Amino acid sequence: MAAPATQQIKIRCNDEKEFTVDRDVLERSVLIKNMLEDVTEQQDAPIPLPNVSGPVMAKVLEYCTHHRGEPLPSADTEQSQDETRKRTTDISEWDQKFITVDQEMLFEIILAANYLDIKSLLDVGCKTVANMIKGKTPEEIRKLFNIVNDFTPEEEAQIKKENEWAEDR
Amino acid sequence: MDSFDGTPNPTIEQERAELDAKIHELEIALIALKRRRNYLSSISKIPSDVLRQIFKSVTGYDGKVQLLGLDGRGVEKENRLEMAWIRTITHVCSAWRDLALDSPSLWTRIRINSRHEIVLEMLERSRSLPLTISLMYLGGDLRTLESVLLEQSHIQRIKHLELGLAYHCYQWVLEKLDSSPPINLESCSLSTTAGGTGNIFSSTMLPVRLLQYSSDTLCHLQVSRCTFDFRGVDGILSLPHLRTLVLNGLVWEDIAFLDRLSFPHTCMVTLDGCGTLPQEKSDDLKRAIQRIWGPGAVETEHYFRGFTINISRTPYFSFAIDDTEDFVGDLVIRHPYTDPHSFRAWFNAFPLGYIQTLRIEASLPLAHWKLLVHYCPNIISLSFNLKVDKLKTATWFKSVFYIHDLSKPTRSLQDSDEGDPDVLLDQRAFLKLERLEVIDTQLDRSAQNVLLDCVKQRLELGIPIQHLMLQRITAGFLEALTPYVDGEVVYHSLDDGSAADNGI
Repeated sequence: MAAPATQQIKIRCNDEKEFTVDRDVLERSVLIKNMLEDVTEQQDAPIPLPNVSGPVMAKVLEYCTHHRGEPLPSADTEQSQDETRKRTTDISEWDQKFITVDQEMLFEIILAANYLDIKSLLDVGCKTVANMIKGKTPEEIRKLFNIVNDFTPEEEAQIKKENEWAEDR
Repeated sequence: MDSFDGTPNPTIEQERAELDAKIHELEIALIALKRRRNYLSSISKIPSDVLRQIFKSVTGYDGKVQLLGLDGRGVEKENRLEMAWIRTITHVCSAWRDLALDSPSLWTRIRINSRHEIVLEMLERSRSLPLTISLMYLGGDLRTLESVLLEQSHIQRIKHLELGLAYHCYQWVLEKLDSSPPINLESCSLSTTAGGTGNIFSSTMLPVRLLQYSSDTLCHLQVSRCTFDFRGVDGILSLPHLRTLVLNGLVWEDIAFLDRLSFPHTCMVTLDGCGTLPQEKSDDLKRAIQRIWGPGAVETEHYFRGFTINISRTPYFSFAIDDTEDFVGDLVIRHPYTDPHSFRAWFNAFPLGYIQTLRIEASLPLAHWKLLVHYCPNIISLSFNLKVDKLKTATWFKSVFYIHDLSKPTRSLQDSDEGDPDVLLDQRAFLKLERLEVIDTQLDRSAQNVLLDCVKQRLELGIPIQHLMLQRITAGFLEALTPYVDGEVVYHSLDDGSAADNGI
């Protein structure tokens, strides 16, 4: 009879904030999973995560804890689901609530998911940003992300032409 | 200043040129400043490959090859949506535009109905990647299609092709394709806008060379309201790699072309919206199925929307059914089917004996659960979520999971049984169950006790649970449960201890 994995692992973020977490929760991150597999002996020193801050890591761990036990996407499933998975913008109810954060935190979560290699979380983040920009005009998107129109006159001319394609229909 | 007679004043000309140069310089500097400013935006921290993934989500393409619709409704809307995502990702700022134009995979799904210039741009922007080409021909200008079909390099790139054409257009397309066939086609979806005779109720007969072009590569074939003309073609056409076959809106005479095809490795066949099958044709269909999947394929009879289909060992025969996912050896129920009679009728339509994996994503009353126990006796893996149910968890375990009397023979269900859980209580539980996953459902003390009794009982009877996944349970309950599971227990602990009692 297999008992559940209960090994506790320590991690340290770039602001020195430390977390002690069940190994199976941390192993949602392929980066950490590989690190743990490479270490043969039990070690007490925390795993340094220089690209993630404490508050962001707390959110990431909330996600990993909720999804613990779910199968990780393997190379095969990733291949077969690639088209359908990446091009839809459906997000589960829990994930939607989880990712309802301010813009700064949203991008930090995406960066952390990318660094820690947590594909499902990265996917949720990308879909959320996609949903934010879908249906908006370029000007609305600029306003949303605090960016300005920086096109050269040549690019502007091409864009004007492309807009005419839409208007002519 | 310029003179009144229009003669250029060299001094002024020089000053004007100098000012133009200065303006240009300042414009460049201004753009550089704007770009530096944009670089400070939070979204600029997102790496290119991640931003590219966001763009893919924005395109909204779900990756499936689908028919566009037989009457072309919605094509204009599609055009508007297409322009919307193009503007969203290429008209915002230069960094986004550069990345999008440098991402060929964003431009590979080309709708020929789009404006000619857009199609040409997309062909160029997709570079040498495989293409998905889709065309719903509504009449008018065919030069866009011509610009794709006349270029051999484009045709060779077509991996997925969906065509919704009138008969005469298929002839025109075939003439073009004859000189340079799409030999790398993996998916092909063919539909007709009207019958060849002009009768919208008859199917269009298409030349079989549409299939012959790519017989060595074709994996998915969807045929809607058209069929194939094998006249002049000898023998059987082999499609050795065909995995899925979908037939929409065909009458029996149309399906007869299956007799001329060999697709030994097909694992999913869908018949959707096909007309009533005359009783006398039943044997022909039976023979066709036997020829495809071997003599043992036909064992039992089931009834579906006017079709009498004989299948049992057909490995993966799939039916499109309202609100229910097609199943491939697995069954997923997403619709509650509140009426027990329609639920039972639905079960009667399918060969459920070979279903081993059952996932319930709908709210089912207890009577429906008992019907599932009755009709799906070979379930090995069961996954369900009782959170959405009004059903009490303890009652569920007692009624569906607990084995009440093994010595009692299973009786046939009567119509009157279906609304009466007490009568159905005699029905056996899932006796072959090895894997049980209870999703997002908190177990109260009473449910915990019943579940514990159930797993104990199964272990004693020699049919133990080998994989048990629970969520929202306490460490105390886990400890009590684990010795009775002959395998692994995967669990999610409760976040706060107040939510449940860990006493058993």
